[in-house]
Amino acid sequence: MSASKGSIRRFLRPLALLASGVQLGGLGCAASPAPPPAPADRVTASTQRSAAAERERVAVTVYNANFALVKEERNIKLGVGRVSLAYEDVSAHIQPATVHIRSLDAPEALVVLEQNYRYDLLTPDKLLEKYVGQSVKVARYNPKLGTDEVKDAELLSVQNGPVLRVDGEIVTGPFERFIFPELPPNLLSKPTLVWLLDSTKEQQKVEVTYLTQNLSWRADYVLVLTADDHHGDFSGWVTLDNQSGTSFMAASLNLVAGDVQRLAPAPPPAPMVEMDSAEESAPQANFRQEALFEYHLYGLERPTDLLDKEQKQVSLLEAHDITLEKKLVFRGLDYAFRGRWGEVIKNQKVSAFLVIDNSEARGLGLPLPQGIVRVYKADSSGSQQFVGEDAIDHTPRDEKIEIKLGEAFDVVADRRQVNWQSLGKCQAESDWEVEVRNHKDAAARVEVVEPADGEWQVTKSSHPADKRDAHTFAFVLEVPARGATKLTYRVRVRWC
Amino acid sequence: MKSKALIRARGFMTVLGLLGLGGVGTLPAAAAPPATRVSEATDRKAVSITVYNADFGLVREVRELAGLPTGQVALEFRDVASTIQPETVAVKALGNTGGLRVLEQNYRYDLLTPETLLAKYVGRNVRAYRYHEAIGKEDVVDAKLLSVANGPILQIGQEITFNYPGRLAFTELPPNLIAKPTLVWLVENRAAAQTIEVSYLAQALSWSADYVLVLDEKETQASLVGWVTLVNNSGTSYRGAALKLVAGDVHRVEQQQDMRRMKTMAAQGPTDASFREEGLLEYHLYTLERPTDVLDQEQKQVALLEASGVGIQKKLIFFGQQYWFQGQYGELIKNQKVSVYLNFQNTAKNRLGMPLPKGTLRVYKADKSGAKQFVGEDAIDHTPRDEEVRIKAGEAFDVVADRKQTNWSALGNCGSESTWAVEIRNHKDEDTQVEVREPAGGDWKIVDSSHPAIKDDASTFHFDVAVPKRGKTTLTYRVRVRWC
Repeated sequence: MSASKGSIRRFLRPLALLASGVQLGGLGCAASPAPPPAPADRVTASTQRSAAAERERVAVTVYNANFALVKEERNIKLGVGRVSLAYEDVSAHIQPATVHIRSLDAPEALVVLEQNYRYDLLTPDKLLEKYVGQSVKVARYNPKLGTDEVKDAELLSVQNGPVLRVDGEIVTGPFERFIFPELPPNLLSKPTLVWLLDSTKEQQKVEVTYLTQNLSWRADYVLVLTADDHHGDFSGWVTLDNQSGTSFMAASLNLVAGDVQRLAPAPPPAPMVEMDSAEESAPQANFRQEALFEYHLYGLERPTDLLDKEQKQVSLLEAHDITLEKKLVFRGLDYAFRGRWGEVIKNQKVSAFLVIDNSEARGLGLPLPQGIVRVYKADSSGSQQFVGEDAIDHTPRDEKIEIKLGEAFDVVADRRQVNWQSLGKCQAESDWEVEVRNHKDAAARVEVVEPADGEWQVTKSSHPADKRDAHTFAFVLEVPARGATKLTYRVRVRWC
Repeated sequence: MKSKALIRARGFMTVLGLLGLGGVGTLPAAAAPPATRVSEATDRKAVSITVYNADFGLVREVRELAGLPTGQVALEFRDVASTIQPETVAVKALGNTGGLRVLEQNYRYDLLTPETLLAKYVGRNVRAYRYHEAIGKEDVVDAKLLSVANGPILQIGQEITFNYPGRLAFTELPPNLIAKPTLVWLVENRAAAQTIEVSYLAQALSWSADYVLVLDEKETQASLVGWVTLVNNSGTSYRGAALKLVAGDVHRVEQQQDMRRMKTMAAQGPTDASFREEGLLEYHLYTLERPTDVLDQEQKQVALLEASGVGIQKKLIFFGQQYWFQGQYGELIKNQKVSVYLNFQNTAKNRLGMPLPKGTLRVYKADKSGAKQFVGEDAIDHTPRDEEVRIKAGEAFDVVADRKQTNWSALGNCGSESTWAVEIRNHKDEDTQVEVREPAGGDWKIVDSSHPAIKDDASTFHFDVAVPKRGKTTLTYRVRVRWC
């Protein structure tokens, strides 16, 4: 496309045609220094078609946000001169504005004059519309005779249903079927990409790239916990879904992990849950990983077939014996300290989390593309049971992932405001009591996290209060097996 | 270049002049019914279309009409865009001026549909057909159509009925019902052959630019290729059309087009491959150097510009949120995304310096095997030369940040002071620089900060934070805000 040579060629041709004498009808405005109407121009373009059979290589790079970059090489017999090339077997969800063609073996021998994406499709409605004012036939099946009765008709209008003149009368539907003498030109059976090219080499190897919607991938992780809940095996799978309408055989497959900025066809929002899953980077069997811009690129080492309407899974990573941490968290309510409360709901749920440090020290340390972590644990008979799942966002190495597994069954808590006292217009002090009960046969450690607004101070507490940030403090409670632990504290709050 | 433009300008003024005449010279139609003549696309000798960004285009076509009756003629002008704005149509005769005068211009859209046909036959006789499966023939009865509101009601003999199974036939076509919206001129004609030029505005013709920016290995230089993408959904094909594009936000009120050409600027793209560019009023006009076919329901792309060795800067920016400092925040979302931006100067010094029409810019970068991969896209607005282009490429994978309010205290009813810690972690194998950009509401003041705060405007300040490879940097600051 580049070559200034190309632009010169393009500039000269219309001028030559002008000279050859097609008279411009005086298109007002003397508008165009150029263009005579181009019948002659069009005649010179020979028409070629290229289908999937000519495809020599195809590479597909799939992104998280339901789109992909397709790059294919075809060896096409173009001929020499001005060629109109219809390019078939591209994805049905192609974004035509992103298509680019170039010649690989002779870049100078191929000049793109224009690129067209035609979608004037042959449909029953279009066919009728093109025949308005013309003669058609209407046919009706006569069940008695077993033949069609055919009548000549003139199609008068097709607005809101056809109106015909048959035997001198004006009639409207219903009609059984219409018969047309021939196909109108320029109606296509499917959207088609057509290039107008100047070619100076008979046979050319071309590379075509485009973006397409409806190819997506995500990561699926499996974390198998050991009996003590503090170690596990972590494996990652890539799940690829092809709904692009086209199969890509023997494709070299790349995946890009990262949030790439896209416009218009908005990708579905990524789940914004934050979880940590720990993984260990074992030998990456299938994919080689590299940095690309500010993202990560995974290349599959061998070509693979991506069939249309197919979901494919390929192993991404495996890590054995990673170290992780289980956490029980009891979370308070916002804005609790200003107001007055009675006994707050009983037996509130205590949430269970897994915290994974994605570091080499813990047996991981890999970029983890966004996906879903599913956690399994072996029961006493040794068979694995599902214990929870959560979504994780793109997680670089050395970051922590927190996965919510669910709510603990055997650990519950009550929260009560036992005292409230006003200290002027915008200050209050209250006493709180949190009772955590553990009905398991093993001791449990529970984190009690309290969000606080305003300017607050814990004036007294049974356990040490840890200030996490301007509006959060937390306590750590050890709860014995089949026992209960009571936490009490007093908070003073000022909000103006 | 200059003289050419002047000639064109003069040509255009002529059109405007005639347009004025056409409006003034309306005369009452003569009593005798005028002869009728239909003109279709086959009469078309030349067509030119000028497409604007805002989903409309100016179509100008020349048709040769042979065998035209003389006297008053109703000229039906078919095969125009179905999205035509009829009030913008202007017609004039070329050549033997004075031979053709437009008396009236009508745009008819009383369409022939099954419903309008029925409506026109209310109170009249129709025939009702019913098909007999057993005998394979149709029964015919005469009926009177009494009403069509909510379904036809018929009088057959002395009986009134509705829901009559079968179809209705009508004796003749009511006048003035047409198959498609049609332009009809009443003209006073004196010559058998006429060449006329018609211009009008049509909707559903649009164009935008698509750019491809290919980054080099170090992400400091790039090549830029621009394409024009034209979409025609106007309902008509324009074959062998002279194509022009106007870049700019043209104001449209009741279809008033100000099309004066004021001055010409030399085209200046380094490789202005297919299009010639010139200034047009306060916009830019691009002309395709050869005729082209613009088919209905087609998207067409033609090269617009090309430049290489364009210097670019990559920037990582971490954005805050508005009005943060007034409020109180607990634990904020962790591992927030740091955005990646690319900037380049649209200057001649930077090997660009040409008007960039609004469109989509897509960024590609080669991976280690040399294959180009897509790394993001963003929209750019009309960008004149010597302006900066800034696009967002995406979110960085390996650089994340947490923002935490570490302390908050009230300063009366409408003031507060809070301390913040922003921890930026870089998990890449190279050092990086992150701009932390904080929008602030109210009357704010940075009391103290670990990195120098740079005030950008009344409600924005930023910090430049260097983050070592595989390391982290914590930025802390204290801000005091009053909001009344």
